Amino acid sequence: MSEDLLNEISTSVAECREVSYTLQLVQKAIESNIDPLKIMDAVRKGLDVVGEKYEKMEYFLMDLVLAGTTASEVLRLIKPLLMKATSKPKGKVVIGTVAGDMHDIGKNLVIAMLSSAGYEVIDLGIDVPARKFVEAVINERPDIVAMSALLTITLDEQRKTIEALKNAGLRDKVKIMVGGRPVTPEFAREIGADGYGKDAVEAVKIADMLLGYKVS
Amino acid sequence: MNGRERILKTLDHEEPDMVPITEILIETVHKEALLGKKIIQEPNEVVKMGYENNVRHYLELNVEFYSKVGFDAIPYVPTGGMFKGEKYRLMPDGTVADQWGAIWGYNIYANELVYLRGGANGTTIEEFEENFPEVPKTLVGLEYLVKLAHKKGMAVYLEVDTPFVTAWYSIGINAFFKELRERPKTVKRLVSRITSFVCEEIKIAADLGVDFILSSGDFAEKNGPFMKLYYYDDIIWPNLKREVETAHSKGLKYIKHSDGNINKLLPKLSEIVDGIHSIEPPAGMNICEVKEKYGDKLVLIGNIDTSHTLPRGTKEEVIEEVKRVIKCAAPGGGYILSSSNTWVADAKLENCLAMVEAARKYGKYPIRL
Repeated sequence: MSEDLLNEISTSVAECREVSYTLQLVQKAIESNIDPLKIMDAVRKGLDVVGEKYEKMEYFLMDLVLAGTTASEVLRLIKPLLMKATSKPKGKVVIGTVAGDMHDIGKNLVIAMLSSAGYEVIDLGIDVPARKFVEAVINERPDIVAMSALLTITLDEQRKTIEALKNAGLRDKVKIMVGGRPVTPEFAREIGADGYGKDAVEAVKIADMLLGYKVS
Repeated sequence: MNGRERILKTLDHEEPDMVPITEILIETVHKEALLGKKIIQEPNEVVKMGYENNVRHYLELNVEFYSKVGFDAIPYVPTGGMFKGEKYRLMPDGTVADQWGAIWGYNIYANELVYLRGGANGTTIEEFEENFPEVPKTLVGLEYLVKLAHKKGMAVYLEVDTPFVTAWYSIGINAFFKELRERPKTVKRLVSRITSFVCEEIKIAADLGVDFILSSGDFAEKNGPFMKLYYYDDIIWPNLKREVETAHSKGLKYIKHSDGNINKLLPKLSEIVDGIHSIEPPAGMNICEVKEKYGDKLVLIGNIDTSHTLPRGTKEEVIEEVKRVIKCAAPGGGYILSSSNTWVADAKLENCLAMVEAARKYGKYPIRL
């Protein structure tokens, strides 16, 4: 019964069914006392299918955004339950959109994907100055710092943040991944980032790779 | 031959004296650097200056810039940059909402307003429709711009927002796609209503003397179209046709901008519009192939790479790219040189100027490259 329901959740996410339909299934799963981690894993499996199909160009940005919206809403619904679960996250990621940049759609999609893939994600929000990233690394001790920049004019803030982490003696304590529309692999290398993800799907793969997990 | 004549001949797929040049947007840092003047864009200062004065100030400096660089055509943007003016709503958190409910933040580094999210007029289509703006009686400052630009020999084009993108900017991308998935007929009704608004803008602009229409807003991203092609057939193309027919009824050509990989959309686009802008190389768009397949139907604008060549390339790389693009796209007319998006802030100004210089040097007809 619970396997069937979990499969239904995965399929609903994978087929980009209405957000409300997936939420109904999740609610049913919660009421059936199914382990919240298993529910989130079912969502992740669905997201994996969406990600694969998007990369193969069988799915479109609309599908990716819809799946991300679904994952965010599911996460909101079961986060209180997840907090009680004991399973260890795959890693901790501190994420933010850099200073001067107030875009959050891409970043939120990355958060949804990473959370569903089993990462604990600390969202610093938008317009995050370098010193805030430094403070977060000191306070949160993340494995990864992820930075988003959507504007060409704020690209350099990614470089400045890496410099600030170096100056604080923290650069070697974390892996750094960058993304955002104007970011290129070339630019990521130039500023000394460890990884570049071209979209939210790739961000999960990069995080897995940086922390030594097997990448599918 | 002046710039305007050059543009009009090119739009008719004829060879003018040289390849015309334009940009649909220049980020303010470049304008201020070249002119040595400050452009007032900070929301509080705009309000203090007054809408009409600010529009005039913006237009005058824009004409000065476009003319100094040597462009052949200049855009009028009714809802971009300062033109949010009259419908400006300063929000308590310092952001600005436009007439459609899209929320813009002022970026102090760039002296620009940048899109943040939708929702100022509501996050559902019903709320959005309740707050639907009135069709404007005129486009403030356009007559003045036409006078200034034509005097300098430049063509003027109206940049309209694509209704589909206006809808998504207004209620936010997540809400928009959710509505489209769950209530496509409602989204269709909304896009159609915005299209009627845009058609009125086109008519007004035509009567005020613009030379062609360019529609901004993307239809694709680097992976391809945003949505299943079904949605384009059902919602986008019929409304786009209405805009193009309105422009044609006023004797104006209609160009569609889109970033991203539009290869899958080109067969339909080439039946509807007169030209396309952007042709973005990092998204996999190859202007030589597009010219070969659609050059007889579509005027092509763009393709000088804004992600690598203009920000990080050398002057020599810029010149080589301009030569390569002109060689492919310019013979027979029907090509207007431009970057593959805008003069983005991290582009090197010297590279942008080298692009224009190279276009003038190698863009003389007949093309001998």
